[in-house]
Amino acid sequence: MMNLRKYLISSLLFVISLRAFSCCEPDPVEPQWHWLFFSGYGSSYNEWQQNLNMAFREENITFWHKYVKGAVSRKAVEKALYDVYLLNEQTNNAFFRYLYDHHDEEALRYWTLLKASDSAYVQNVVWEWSIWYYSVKTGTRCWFDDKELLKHDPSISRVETLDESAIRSCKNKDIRNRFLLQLMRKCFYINDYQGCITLWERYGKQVPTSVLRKQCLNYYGGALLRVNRDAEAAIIYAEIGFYDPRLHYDVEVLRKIYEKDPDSKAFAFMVQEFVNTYFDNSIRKRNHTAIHYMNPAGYCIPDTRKTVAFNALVDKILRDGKNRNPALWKSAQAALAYINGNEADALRFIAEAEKLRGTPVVKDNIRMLRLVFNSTRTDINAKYEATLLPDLQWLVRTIEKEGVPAWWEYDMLGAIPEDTDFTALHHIKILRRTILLGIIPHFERCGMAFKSMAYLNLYGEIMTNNDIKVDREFARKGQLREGVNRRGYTIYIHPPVYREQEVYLSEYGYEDLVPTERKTMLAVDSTSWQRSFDYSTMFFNYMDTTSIANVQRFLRFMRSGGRTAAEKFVLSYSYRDPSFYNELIATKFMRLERYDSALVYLRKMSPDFPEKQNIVDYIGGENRNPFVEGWITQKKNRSCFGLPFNPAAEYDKSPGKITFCQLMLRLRKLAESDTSETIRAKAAYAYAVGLFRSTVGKAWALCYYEYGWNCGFHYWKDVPDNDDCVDANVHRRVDSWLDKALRYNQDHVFTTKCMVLHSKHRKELKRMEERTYSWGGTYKEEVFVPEVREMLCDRFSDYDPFYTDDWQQCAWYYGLVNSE
Amino acid sequence: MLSRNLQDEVLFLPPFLNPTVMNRIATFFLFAAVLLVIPVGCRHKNPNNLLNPDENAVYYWRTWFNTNDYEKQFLTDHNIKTMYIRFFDVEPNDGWNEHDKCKPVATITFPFDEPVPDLNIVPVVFITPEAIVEYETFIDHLAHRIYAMCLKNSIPVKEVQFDCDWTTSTREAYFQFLIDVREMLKKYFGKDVAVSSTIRLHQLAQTPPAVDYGVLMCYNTGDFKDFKTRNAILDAKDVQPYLKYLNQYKLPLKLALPDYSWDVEFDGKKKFRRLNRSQNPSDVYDTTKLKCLGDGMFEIINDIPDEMVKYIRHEEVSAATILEVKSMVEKNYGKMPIVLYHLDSDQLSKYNHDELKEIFD
Repeated sequence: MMNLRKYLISSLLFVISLRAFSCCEPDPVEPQWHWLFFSGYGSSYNEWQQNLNMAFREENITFWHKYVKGAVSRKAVEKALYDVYLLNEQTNNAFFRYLYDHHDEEALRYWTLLKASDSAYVQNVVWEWSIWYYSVKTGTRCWFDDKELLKHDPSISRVETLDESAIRSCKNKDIRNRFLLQLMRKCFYINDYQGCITLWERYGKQVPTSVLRKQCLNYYGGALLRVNRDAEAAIIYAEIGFYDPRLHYDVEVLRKIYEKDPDSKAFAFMVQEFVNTYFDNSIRKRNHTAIHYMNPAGYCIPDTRKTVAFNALVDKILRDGKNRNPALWKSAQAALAYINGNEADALRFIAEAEKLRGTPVVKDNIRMLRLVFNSTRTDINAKYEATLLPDLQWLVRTIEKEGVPAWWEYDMLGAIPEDTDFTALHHIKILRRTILLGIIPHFERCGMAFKSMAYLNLYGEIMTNNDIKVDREFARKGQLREGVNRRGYTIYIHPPVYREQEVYLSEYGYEDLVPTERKTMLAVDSTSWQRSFDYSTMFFNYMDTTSIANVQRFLRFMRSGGRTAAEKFVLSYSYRDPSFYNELIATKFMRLERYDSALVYLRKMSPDFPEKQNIVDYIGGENRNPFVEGWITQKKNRSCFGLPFNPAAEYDKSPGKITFCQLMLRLRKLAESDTSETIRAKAAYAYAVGLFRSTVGKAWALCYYEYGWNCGFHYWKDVPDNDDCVDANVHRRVDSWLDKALRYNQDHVFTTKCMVLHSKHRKELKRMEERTYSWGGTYKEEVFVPEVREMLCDRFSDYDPFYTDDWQQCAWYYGLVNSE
Repeated sequence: MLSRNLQDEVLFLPPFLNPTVMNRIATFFLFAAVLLVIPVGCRHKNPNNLLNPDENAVYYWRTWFNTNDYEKQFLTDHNIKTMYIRFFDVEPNDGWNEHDKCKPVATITFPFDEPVPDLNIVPVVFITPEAIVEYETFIDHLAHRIYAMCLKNSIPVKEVQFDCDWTTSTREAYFQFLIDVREMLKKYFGKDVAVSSTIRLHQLAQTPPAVDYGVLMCYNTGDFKDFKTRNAILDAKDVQPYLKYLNQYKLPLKLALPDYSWDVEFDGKKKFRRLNRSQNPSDVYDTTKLKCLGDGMFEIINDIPDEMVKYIRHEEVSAATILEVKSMVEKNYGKMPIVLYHLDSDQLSKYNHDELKEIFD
C-alpha cells in the first residue's frame, strides 16, 4: 500500500513537473483539424502554441543559467524545471542547492510559487487525479481545498503566503516580471479571471517585449475571453499572434473591433480565423470526425446568415475606406462564397480583391485561393491545366524556395523547432488541397487516370525530395534517421503520409474508416516494410489499385515528356525508375495469374531491385514459401504433392517472384496436359495451393504490397470494378483448380485436403475482410472448424459413405489430414 | 358460547347487523379505504412545495451559461420560476485510480459577468448507465462537485436532479445511488437537499425510484435511427402505450415537453449515419441540392456514393403535437407542472407567444 502511495505521489509529481517544464498552456483544448484554408496572417493555434512553449523553455533555461552566472550547468537548470516539485532545503539539484546556499530568498520564493501555480494547473485542468475537482473562487488559496494534495505534500502550504505582494516587494526586475507571470497563471487556473486581468493591468506595462510578455498576454487574453470581453481578447491575441479556438469569431466581434479601431492589426488575424472557423464549422456539421474536407461542389450546409452579415460588414468597410487592407476583406468574401458553393461569386470577388490594396501575405493568399477555386471548377475542360499552370508553378517554386519545413517531425513528436516557417507549411497545405481536392477529382471525372497519377507523383516528389534534403542535413550532423527506403536514403516514415490518403479517400465518402483501423491494413506482419516510403505514398497506392492499362498509359505519358506547358511542368516532377514500375506491373499481372506476362516485366527489372524493395524477408523462408501446406502440417514436413518435382524445394533454392511465376507455369502445364490423371490432379492441387498462398496466405507478399482485402484499398473508389486489382474472385479461381483436382482424383484423403484448402481459403478471405474493417473485431479462430464441417458435409453429400450428418465423421477426415 | 349462539339464533339478526360481522366489515372497509387513500395521497403529495402546478420551469442544457435577450424575455413572459441547469455528465473513464473509473464531462461554464437568474435553480447531473453501476467510486466526489459549483457560482440550492436512462439491469444501482446521494448532499450542503429524478416513458412500467418527485420526459419517444420513423422527438402514437402506467404510478410527476429539433441523416442505403443539431431549414437548405420528399425528409440530389449522407430527416415538434400529448398525459394523470426542454432562443422562436402560453397553461 505504501509503495502504491509512493508510486501515486511520484507519478503526480512527475506529471506536475512535466507541466512545469512546458510551463504554459492556457487552453488545453483538443487540437482541431484545421487546414488553414484562408491565410491573412499565417499562423495557427497549435503551431503557435508549441512554438511559444518551446521558445519559453529555452528562455527559461537561458535566464536562470545567466542568473546564477553560469555557476551550475544548463542541464542542472533544465532539470530544476522538471524537479520543481521536489524543491526543498534538502534538495540535491545543483541549481536549487545554489539558491539555498546563497540564501536567495527572492528566487526561492519564485520557484515555490511556480510549484504552486503548477499545482493549480494540474488541479484544474491537466491530470485525471483531480478529475472531479472544481475550483472554488475564494482567492488565491482556493486550490488548497483539495485536502489530498496537502496530504501528499504538506510543504506546499508555504505558498499560501505568496501573493501580489511578492511582485511589489521583489527587487530584481526580471524576477518581478516572472512573479507576475506565475501569479497570472495561477489566477487563470483557479478560474480567477478578473484577478488575472487586474494583475496585468496593474503591472503589465513594465514588462518589456519578450517571450515572457507574450506568455503574460496569453493568459491576459484568455482571461478577457472568459469574461466575455471578446473584442479586447482578440486585439491581445493579434498582438501576440495567437488565436484561441474558444474565441467566437463572429461578425459581431469583428464589428466591435472595427468600431474601436477601423484599421486594427487584429483584423488580419481575426478574418483569417473567421473564415477558417466558418469553413471548419460548415464541414463539421456534416462530419463529426472533423477530418473531412468539403469540396464546394459537395454537401456542406453553410450558415448563410453569417455570410450575409459578413458581406454587409465588408461592404461597409470598403465604403468607409478607413481600413488599409481591403484586399483581406474582399478575399475573405470570396472564400466564404466558395465555401458556400457559389463558384462564380468566388471568382468574381477574388478578381476584385486582386485589384485592391493588401499586405504581401494577403496578396499571396489571393493567388492561392484563385488556384484552389480554379482547381475545382467544373466549367472548364480543355484549358483546365493551362488555367492552373501559372499559379501552380508559382506555388511549387515558392515551396521549393522556402523548403518544406520538417512538419511531419513536429506532427510526430508534438513539438516544432522555434524557427519553423509556418508560411511554407501553409503553401504545402494549399498544394495538397489543390491536388487532392481539385485536380485529382477533375481528372477522375474526365477518366484521365494517368494525369491523376502524374499530379500525385508531383506532390510525392516534392515531399520526397525534401525528405532527402532533411536526410542530408542529418547526415551532415553525423546522425542517421530511422529506416532505409528503397532509394537508399535514410528516411523516417510517419503517420501523416497515411493521413493524406485518408483526407483524399474520405472525399469519396468512406468516412467511417478511422486512422487506427486503417493502419492495420499496412503490412500487418511487417514493421520495416511499413517504413518503405515509395510504397506508402498516394501515388503508389493509386497505381497499385488502378488497372494495368492505366499504369501503362501513365508510363507512356511520362516517357512522352508531355505536349503542353502544363504537362511538361508536371512531368518534370516524375519519379523515373524503370524497375519500380516493371516490378509493380509484373505483380499486378501475377494477381491475374498471368505469370507469363509477369515474367516479361520481372526480367526487365534490375537484379538488385528486390533487395532494395525491402520485402525479401516476406517472400522467403519456410513460413512464406507459397508451396508449403503450412496450415495442414504445422510442422516442417513439406509436401511434395507426389509430383515429379518438388515446388516447395525448388522455390526455396531461389525464392522470389520470378521463381514463383516459373513454378506456377510448370504446374499449370502439368495440370492441363500431363498424361496421368493422378499427376494432373496433384498438379492442379499444388497450383491451387500456390495460388492461395500467394494471394491471401502467408506468401501474400508475392502478389500484394499490403495485407488486406484488395490490397488494403477496398475503399478506393476505383477498386470495386477493377479486375486487375480486385481479387474478390480469387476464391473462385482457387475453387476451379480444386475442382479440376477432384475431377481426376476421388481419393478420400486427397478430397478432404482439397476441401480443407477450400475452407481455409474462405477463412482467410473472411479474416482479411474483417482485418480491413475492424482489426480485432468479430473474427474468431473457431470460424474455421464449422466451415470445414459445413464444406465437407456439403461436398460429400452425394457420396457414400461420406454422407452423414454426423460431424464426427467429417472431423475424422479433418483429423486425418492434420495427422498426415 | 352457547348463549351467544343462541342469542344470535333467537334474535335472528341479519348478517349485516350482526356486531361481529359488522366489526369485520368495518375493519375491511377501513383497511380498504386506507389502501386506496395511501397511493392517491402519495401521488398528489407535494413534497417541500416542489410541485406547484402553476410553477413553470425550463431545462438549460448547454455548456456555456449565457441567456440572450429573447431568452430573458421568455423567462419573464411565461413566469418561469424554476430552471433545471445541467451541471455536468458522468461517464466511464479509463483511469487507474478507484475514483477515476468515472469522470465528469461537459461541465457547464458560468461566465463571470452572466449572473445566474434569480430563479429556483435545480442542478441536474446526467449519469450514463455504464457509469451508474460504478457509482460508489464517485458519489462522494460528485456531491462535492455539485456543492463546489453551487458555492462558486452563488447558486442557492434546495434540490438536485439526476438523469439516467436506467433499465432493469441498472435499476438497483441507480435507486441505491439516489438514496445514498441524498446523504452525501446533506453532508456537503449542511442541510437537507431534495432529490428528484427524470423518468423516461419506458421506466413508467417499473417501480419508481425513492425521490421526492420525477420529471416525466415526454420526448425522444421514437427510434431516430430508423429510416421509417416519422418523428422520433415526439409522436403521440409512441406515447400512447405508456399512458396506462400513469394512473398507478406511485411518484409525483412533472411533465417535460420538447421544443427542440434535429436533423437525422441517413446514407444511400437508408442506414442511420448521424444526428445533427438542426437549424431553420429555410435558412439552411439549398433547394438546388436538396429535394423535399415530404414529412421533413430531404434527399441530396447529387450523385453520391451509397456510403455518404443521402437523406436528411428534419424533425421538429409542432405546438399542436405538444398540446395533444400534454392533454393525453394529463387525462391519465391529472394536471402536472410543465417543464420545457430546453431554453434555446433558436428553438423557442419557432413557436409564437400564444402557443407557448398554451403549453404552459
